[in-house]
Amino acid sequence: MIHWEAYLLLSVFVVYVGGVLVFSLRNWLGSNRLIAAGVLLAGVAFVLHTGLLLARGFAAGRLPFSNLYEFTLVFAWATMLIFAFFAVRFKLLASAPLALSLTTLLVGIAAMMPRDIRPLMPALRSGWLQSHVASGVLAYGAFAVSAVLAVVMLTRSEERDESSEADWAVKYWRMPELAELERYVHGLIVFGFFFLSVLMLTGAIWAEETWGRWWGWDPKEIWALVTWLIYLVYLHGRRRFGWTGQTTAWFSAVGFFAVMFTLFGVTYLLPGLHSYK
Amino acid sequence: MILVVAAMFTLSMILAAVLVGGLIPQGLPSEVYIDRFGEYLARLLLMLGLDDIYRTKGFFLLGLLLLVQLAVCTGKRVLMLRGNSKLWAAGSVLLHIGLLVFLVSTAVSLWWGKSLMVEVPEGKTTELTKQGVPFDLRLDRFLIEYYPGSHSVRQYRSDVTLLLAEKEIKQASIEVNSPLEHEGAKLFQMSYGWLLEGSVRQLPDGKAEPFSILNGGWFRAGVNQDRVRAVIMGDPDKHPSKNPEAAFLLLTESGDRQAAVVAQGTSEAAGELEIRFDQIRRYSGLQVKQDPGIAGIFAGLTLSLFGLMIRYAPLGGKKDL
Repeated sequence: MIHWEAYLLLSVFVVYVGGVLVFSLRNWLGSNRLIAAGVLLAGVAFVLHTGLLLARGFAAGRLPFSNLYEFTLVFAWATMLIFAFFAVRFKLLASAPLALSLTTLLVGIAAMMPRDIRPLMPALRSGWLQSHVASGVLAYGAFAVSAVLAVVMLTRSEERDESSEADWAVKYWRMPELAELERYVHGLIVFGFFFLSVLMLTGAIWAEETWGRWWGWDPKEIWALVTWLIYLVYLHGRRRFGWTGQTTAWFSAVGFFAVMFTLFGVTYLLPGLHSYK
Repeated sequence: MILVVAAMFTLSMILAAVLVGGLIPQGLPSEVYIDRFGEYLARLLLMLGLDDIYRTKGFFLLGLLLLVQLAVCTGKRVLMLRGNSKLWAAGSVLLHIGLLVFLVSTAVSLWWGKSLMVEVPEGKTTELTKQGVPFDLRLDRFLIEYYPGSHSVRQYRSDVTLLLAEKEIKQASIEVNSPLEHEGAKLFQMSYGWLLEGSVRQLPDGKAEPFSILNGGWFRAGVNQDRVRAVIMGDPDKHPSKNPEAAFLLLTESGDRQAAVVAQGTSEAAGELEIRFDQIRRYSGLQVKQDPGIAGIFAGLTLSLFGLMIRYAPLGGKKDL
């Protein structure tokens, strides 16, 4: 295998693990300096991660979008990006240990997959590949962050740390009210649902052009539909039945489970047309 | 409110049905289910149609139920829109109308759409008009393009001529991802391979019966209608040979097996049959599809997507709707 890629992949993984450890330590020791260190590590890891994707793209001569290894890396990258946006915009750094763990896990899973760059088979040589995969990345990244926040909702204790130091670190490390978290989860799911719909529409148009059928009950398609229906029920339940709190958090967690199953479960357990390992 | 509860119930049932199909592999031969789930469970599963759940009456019924509920819901939304000038509410209506168009078009497609697969040998014409397609098709040339310096296929292509009553009406190429449309029928490049052509004669004095069979396929021959499998030796795509050989495997009713390797242009005996192998011929696997619902399907889904965007646009301004 190409050496630089293995080394770069390893360093991305190690720095992410460092970030997870430092952020987790912050919760134990309560030292605000650790927040800065954690942000620094996560930032370095993200830059390396970006570099890895760019290098891979240049080596392959195309966007790194065409097998499970590449997709998993881009998915992890988008999860980080969307989480970073949320963490800064809505001051949610306290959930960083969890979000970073998920990213680290994804990078770890990717590291176990074959990395050889193979030429595209005829069916994949289509302009739809980019928009199909890009919308998948955005949808999955948003669902991942929504699941992270949902897990925070499900596990957080009711008593809150009322230390009233007003420096920036504490401000960014605060944990918002459940109702506020729930609103973020909803927003992320709406974003993800839109791009999941784009994913399925572009996939349908592409499949119609390539195989002459826009839908074929392929395992990947079935599980994408399962995911879509779970979030569809969630959106209607929240709007029409006023579901809140724990119920919506469970939907977010279960929905993300379906996402992960669509990505990894289907590929390894239920092979079909989409098993581009 | 009852309407919403009913629609949610239908959606949940559809979710459950889709999930069942996602957990139980679909469309496999029944022995596989017996092997995997055991005799009793497999029979139950097959009886309920869970091995092909998306084609059961129950699933169609759920779809129909959803269609009716969606129509009523959408009608109500349209009426409510008159007292509500908010843009996002219009988005919601658009979204549901789009889904309605999609579901109706899907029904049209299932009802009136049809497709068939044909394997057309190079230089031959298939009479598609006999199958209700508005033209016949001749495969003039089949081409495979490889990535430089490898055996990885980059693209493959059929140069075809469309004919009507033996008159040429159109010449065109069909590639993967680049279908050909003519008079409402669409042609897709699906696969390719080789045909084996020759003849079989019952020994000692039977008449020669010609065969033309896909590489690796089975056919029946002789007075006993024995099963014969024909396979090209080697891979003619990777290692083209001027004088290819083919292996024939003969399986009689009594379970007797015979094999013969036959060079092109010669014959060999296998059991009580004499097999003559004339040549291999390239074929192109094409799908011919006529689907009056397809435009509505994509139009409906695109409309829904626009509706969804408008519906949730205010969320960008942090409003919670």
